[in-house]
Amino acid sequence: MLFNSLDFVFFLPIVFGLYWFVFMGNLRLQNALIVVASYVFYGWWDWRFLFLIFLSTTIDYIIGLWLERSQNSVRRKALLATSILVNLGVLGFFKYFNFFLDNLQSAFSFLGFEINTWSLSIILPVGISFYTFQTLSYTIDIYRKKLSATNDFIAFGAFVSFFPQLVAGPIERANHLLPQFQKRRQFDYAQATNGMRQILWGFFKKLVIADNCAVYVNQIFSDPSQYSGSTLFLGAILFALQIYGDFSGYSDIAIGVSRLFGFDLMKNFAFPYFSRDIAEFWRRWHISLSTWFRDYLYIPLGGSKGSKPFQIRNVFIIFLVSGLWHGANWTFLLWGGLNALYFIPLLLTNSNRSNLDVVSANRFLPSLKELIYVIVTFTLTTLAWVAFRAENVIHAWQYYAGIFDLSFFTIPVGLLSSSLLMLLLLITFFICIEWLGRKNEFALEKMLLNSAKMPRWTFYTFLIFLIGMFMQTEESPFIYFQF
Amino acid sequence: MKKFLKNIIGFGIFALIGYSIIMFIWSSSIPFESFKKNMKYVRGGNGHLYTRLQELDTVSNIDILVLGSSHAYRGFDPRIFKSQGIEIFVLGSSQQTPFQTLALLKSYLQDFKPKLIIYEVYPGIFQNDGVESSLDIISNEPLNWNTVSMALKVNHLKTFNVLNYDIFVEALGLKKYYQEPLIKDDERYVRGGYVQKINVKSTIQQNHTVSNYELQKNQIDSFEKIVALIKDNDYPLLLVQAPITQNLYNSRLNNSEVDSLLSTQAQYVNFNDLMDLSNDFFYDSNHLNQNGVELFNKTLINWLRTNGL
Repeated sequence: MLFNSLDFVFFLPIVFGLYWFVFMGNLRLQNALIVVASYVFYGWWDWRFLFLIFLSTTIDYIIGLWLERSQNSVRRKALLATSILVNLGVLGFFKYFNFFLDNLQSAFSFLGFEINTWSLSIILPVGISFYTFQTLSYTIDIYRKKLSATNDFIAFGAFVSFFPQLVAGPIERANHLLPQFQKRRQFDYAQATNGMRQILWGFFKKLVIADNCAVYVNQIFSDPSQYSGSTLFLGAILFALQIYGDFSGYSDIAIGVSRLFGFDLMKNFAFPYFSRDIAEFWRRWHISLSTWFRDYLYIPLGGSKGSKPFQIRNVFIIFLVSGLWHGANWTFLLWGGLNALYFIPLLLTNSNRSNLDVVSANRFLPSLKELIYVIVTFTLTTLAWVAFRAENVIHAWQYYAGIFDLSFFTIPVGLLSSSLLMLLLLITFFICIEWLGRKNEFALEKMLLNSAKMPRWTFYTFLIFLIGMFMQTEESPFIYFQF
Repeated sequence: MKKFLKNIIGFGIFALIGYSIIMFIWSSSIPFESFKKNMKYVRGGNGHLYTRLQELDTVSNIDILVLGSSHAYRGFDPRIFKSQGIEIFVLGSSQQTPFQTLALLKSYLQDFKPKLIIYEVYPGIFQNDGVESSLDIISNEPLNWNTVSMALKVNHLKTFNVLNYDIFVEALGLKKYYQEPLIKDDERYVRGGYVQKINVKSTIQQNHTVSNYELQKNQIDSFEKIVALIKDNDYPLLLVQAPITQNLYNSRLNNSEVDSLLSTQAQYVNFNDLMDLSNDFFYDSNHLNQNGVELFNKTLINWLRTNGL
């Protein structure tokens, strides 16, 4: 089920009503309702893959209990290895099996050997990368004795399958979300209204910004050879905005919906395009995944300790694995590699933690220096997104070659059209609101909150109007569903 | 929780009214079409629908009422029928699907009291979601319950936005001030609901993707309601498929299945089978030129006489 579908418009109030009015006061029943609703939500897309969620839930629940009870370090290691093998094995099969075979065949062919491989027609289950990482964090944290295993299978099932964040995150840590399933929830007016505001802003980002950018992005990326360098660069910028609007919009809706049910999910985006360097960008982009890799891969590898070559190795590993997490394609590795390259100068000059606060924290507008840093960082990120969006490495190369051409200094095709002008105005409005709200959890969190009800409601209504006037009328899935 | 629900309901009502007002002000004051992407108020519209509906007030005692899409209002020339002593009126609109035909019939059938109803049933219209045609009809027809019911059936954001705008236009009495020219672009409106192409430039497509007609179930349901409504009112009904180019016709693989389906509903004639017209009789793959219309209309009149209709 998509958030931006009519089905969800009916689904959400029904589950909300049952949750607060019918099962209020009974924690187990509320959790059971969440499990059932989550399985319905997921099964709406494809019920056949529900067994994978159930399998992952059951195995990690049992392993969690065994890990808790066992004091034998060899046995504990074996249990953790089993959890990792099963989870990554399932993920690997569905996501990387054909990629592995194709590349194996290419490698042998390159060496002069022809081998016959076969490939399977494998459908990637939606959200598998998200819930797999979420359950892995549970067993790893128990192994590290940072978390106690739960005896409550229903609460654990609800933690794994919680429908707002099941298919595209945020990837929650067990020690943050699981306890919330184990304590009585009270309806909180402030939390719920905050959730509604976040949902509204999430829909605006997705339906108005991302989906409208997608129209131009799809057209420009479909055949880069037809466009000038300036148009290709414009296409890359629009993709940067599309993927931000799409993914952070999804996260906002997920977090907002969770708030309606009394849950607090972790922040996934913190205005990343206002970052002054790449390190800051990665502290603000897809935070739940970045911190997952930091805690479960980067730090165990040694992190920023040790010699510079050792640190550089770790940075490359983390970015390449992060790229590969997105999908079985060399383009994602290229995207990860580019980001690692951007990061290295900061690491070598020990300046990767120089921008920890919000840009222009005490000023309304940025200084010229900050503005230049923000623009440079955005440009670098945008160029890396080209690899992320490209069909394959050759396509990405053609796109880059097209950008770095003398035609970069021409006026982009179609820039003078009124439809693109309208999109640019919407983007300007969007950036202004994001800038004004950059110190908060999400842009609308505190906007007009201290003003009277009438101007506040009028502003929200205006946002709804913009959605109604400019959204694409065909349903389009969220980009991160494919990961 | 009580406060939350009270505020949600309060905001819901506020937003509904506010949305409508902002929509009207924005759409009325901004001239660029792309600045009002999901609000396509097409007064006059394609195919002179406004003028056609205005003419309805002056029409009475007709022999034949013709229903359908552009195949109808570009394919049935009242002057040719009149020369044979037959009065017709063509109640067609662009891409008119059964949703819209049903709404129009419910509104106007009692005004006509025709001796025969001919419904042009090009199968392509059964594939259509009916959005574009619904915008045309809402923009040009006086607001009534049948239009609202059609909008609900089409169930599309653009249709709701246009309906919302139309409510303001009607409430402020703005519709009556509109005057549609009888000649627009390269088309002339002819009394009786016909639209004639002038300065015809042929744009016949030579190659069409070979495929089946995928008829939508909800359109078929509405079609069956149309047939039932006509039969309930004791009007004779003839379903007709006007000629299209041979290339287009032959590119659809399930013509015979569609014919079978349509012939179960009422008397049905497919003129693609009766007439073998070359491309010289069309100005595009879907529409006959004036020579083609003359030939088709005369063949139809002969067929009606031969079959005692």
